[in-house]
Amino acid sequence: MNMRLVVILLLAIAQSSGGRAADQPPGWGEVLYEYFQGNHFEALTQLEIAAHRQQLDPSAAQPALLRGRLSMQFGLYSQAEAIFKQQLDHLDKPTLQAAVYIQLANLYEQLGDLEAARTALTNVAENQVAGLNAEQQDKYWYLVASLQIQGGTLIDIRRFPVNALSREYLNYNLAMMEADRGETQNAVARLQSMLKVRPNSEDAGFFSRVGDWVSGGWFSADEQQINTEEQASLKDRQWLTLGYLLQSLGRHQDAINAYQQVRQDSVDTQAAMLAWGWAAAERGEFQLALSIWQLLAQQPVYQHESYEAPLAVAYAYEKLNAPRQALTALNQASRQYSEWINRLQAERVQLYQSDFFQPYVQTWQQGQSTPEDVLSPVLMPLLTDDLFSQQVAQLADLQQADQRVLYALQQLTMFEQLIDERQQSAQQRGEALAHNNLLQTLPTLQQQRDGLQTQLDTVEHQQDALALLNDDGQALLQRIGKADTRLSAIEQQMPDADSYRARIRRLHGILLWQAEVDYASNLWAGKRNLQALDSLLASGQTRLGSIYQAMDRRAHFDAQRARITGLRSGLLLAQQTQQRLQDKLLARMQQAADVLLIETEQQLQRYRRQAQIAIVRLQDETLRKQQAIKPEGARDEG
Amino acid sequence: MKQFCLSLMLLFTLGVQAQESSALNTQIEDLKKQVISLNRDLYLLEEDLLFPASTQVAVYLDMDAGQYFRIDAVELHLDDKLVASHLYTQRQANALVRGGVQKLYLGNLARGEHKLTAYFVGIGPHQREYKRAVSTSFTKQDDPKALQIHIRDDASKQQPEFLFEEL
Repeated sequence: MNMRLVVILLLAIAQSSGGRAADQPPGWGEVLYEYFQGNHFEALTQLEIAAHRQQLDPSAAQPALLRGRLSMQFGLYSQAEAIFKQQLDHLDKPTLQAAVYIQLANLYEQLGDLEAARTALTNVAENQVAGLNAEQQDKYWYLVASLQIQGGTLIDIRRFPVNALSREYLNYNLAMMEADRGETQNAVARLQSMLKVRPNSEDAGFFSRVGDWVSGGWFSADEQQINTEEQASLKDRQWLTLGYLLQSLGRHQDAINAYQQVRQDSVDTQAAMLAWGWAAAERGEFQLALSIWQLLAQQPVYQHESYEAPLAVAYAYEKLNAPRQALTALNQASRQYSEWINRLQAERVQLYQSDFFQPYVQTWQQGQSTPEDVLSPVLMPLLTDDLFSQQVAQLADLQQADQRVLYALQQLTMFEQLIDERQQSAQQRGEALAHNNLLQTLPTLQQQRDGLQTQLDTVEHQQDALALLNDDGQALLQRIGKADTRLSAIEQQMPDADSYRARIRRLHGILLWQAEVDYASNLWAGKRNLQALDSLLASGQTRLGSIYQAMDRRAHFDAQRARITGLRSGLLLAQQTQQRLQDKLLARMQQAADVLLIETEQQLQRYRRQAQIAIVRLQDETLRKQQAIKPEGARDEG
Repeated sequence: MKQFCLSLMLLFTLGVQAQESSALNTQIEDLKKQVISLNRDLYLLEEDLLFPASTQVAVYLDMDAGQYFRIDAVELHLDDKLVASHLYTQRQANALVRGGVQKLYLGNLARGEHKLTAYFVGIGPHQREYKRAVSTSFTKQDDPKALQIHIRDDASKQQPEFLFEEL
């Protein structure tokens, strides 16, 4: 019910602020992704991360209200209260304010602070309620009605939808209030009127599927099942109460009819069976009463009323003028009570073992019903106790927190190993770099490039086309130079030296001519190549910068180790706190269970005493009867 | 007088118990807050260590669809290598439809050009099985890279559409 109100409120806020969550930064969307799955812890963590990364507007109402609601659902009531109150100072839209006040009232009601809940609701004006959607209105009226009933005021129930489960709860509470006031007839009339309405799971009002805004529906099939079960259980309790009230009015047959409506596998079945037997006994139908009580006595005990069954069986036998069977039943009852008392005493010893409640907490976490092998039947009444349920919920939360802390500690160990490995490989890389002198290569290349630039500038300045010849051209130029040198050495001995010199000059001229022709393109190609070399060197420089940065980052290992150390000490502290709180909580649960066991034992001892007294009484009566018969027999013999 | 004293003692005991209970509740709330805060720090440390900014790449998924596509599964390939896959429960699919954003993948990637391909499986128009692959290319620089896949209902084509966005 809370979850749905929260979703509706969130959607209303989202609509009012304009824009889907997907249009917001991913951090916010990630929060919603967890939130809509009901993962409150994960959603709160994501919210904290998004806030840490400044992905959320700190002045925006939407994240703050979501944080408030998540806090409430995660059991952080004081934090939720503070957030809601803070937001109320900033929100200026009356309907939003009204919705937040309803949320605040809901929180106070959950905490049992009814006065604060009433005060919060006084801030919601009737005309503002009209502006809220149907579900919010439902919640408002439910809270108003519930608080009035708890304050002892009769309310008009007609404003609630006919099949709404909330209406049935309120009506039942009203009937109980009337019964407490002694207005039994009114209470009976109210319950009878309620029970004419048959449960309809497809249109269960308050717990029905939320409107059209979710195509797939918020509740899963399992949840629908839970709500249907809840309705059926409520009906059982209504029938049982009606039976009790009718019986108190002396309408035993009507009471029997009511008890018969209680389901066979309900938590109220055994109470209904016992009461049915008594109603039949009141009508003098002891045979019927006997058969019902015998059936009850054979069943494992789930409710304390059932402890009465063995005595009741004996009572029925006695009323049916079967003193022998009554005596046998009483002896059996006495033995049964002794056995139960012994079992209770053993239970009290086991109770103080640290893992006594563990199987129950686990089934509670999994949302399963409690089978008899998980929690002793004698402790079943604790399950309907609000304080005990709250303690179980807190214990489950603490255990989950412990698991998270353990997981986090394992992660930290893994991170430490990771940092060790990285530090080692960084060190090896550093050594390899130093050994290969790789870091010095780039400055050398830069020097070579600068030399080439100087050469190119000189060539351009001197317009020296030959300097720009390609490798073949340079080879030819060298050959011409060599030929010229050799000719100079042998010129005196050669008759046709002039023609050779003319050939060499011609070849040099041709080469020069070609170089002049290619000068512009060669110069351009040279510049282009130099530019390419520049970009390569720049890229190399960037990489070198990254390498230096990476090498610098080695210093961060210490900072990371410090973070790990800080986190670990925080986690260990949390672990110690968790253990201390868990011990305290367990001690309280054990105390509550122990009180129940002591009370039950006292009750059983009283029953055993009654059985023993009845045995003595019956034996006494039998003896007296025998003594009364004997003299007559003696007379006959005489 | 004796009864009065007993009543007074009982009231005192109840008062002390209520105070103790309230203190315990406060301590439990404090512990929960502490665990949330530690979990946040752990998450941030994990990200800093395992996915440093220079190599970090994240892929998010959101849906503004529902009429023409209901997601069942997704596979994510980076440079033709499967890096993430997810089968959706009803709750997860609903959370997406309602505005949640799923971090589909968080990993490390070298600088340069990369190709991201997502294969979607689900229920398409007319309640038929629907499979679709979509690709995009992106360049990874030294800063963290984040991509978001949006699934939208295209009313004009009566088909879902899949869009990439670099954040």
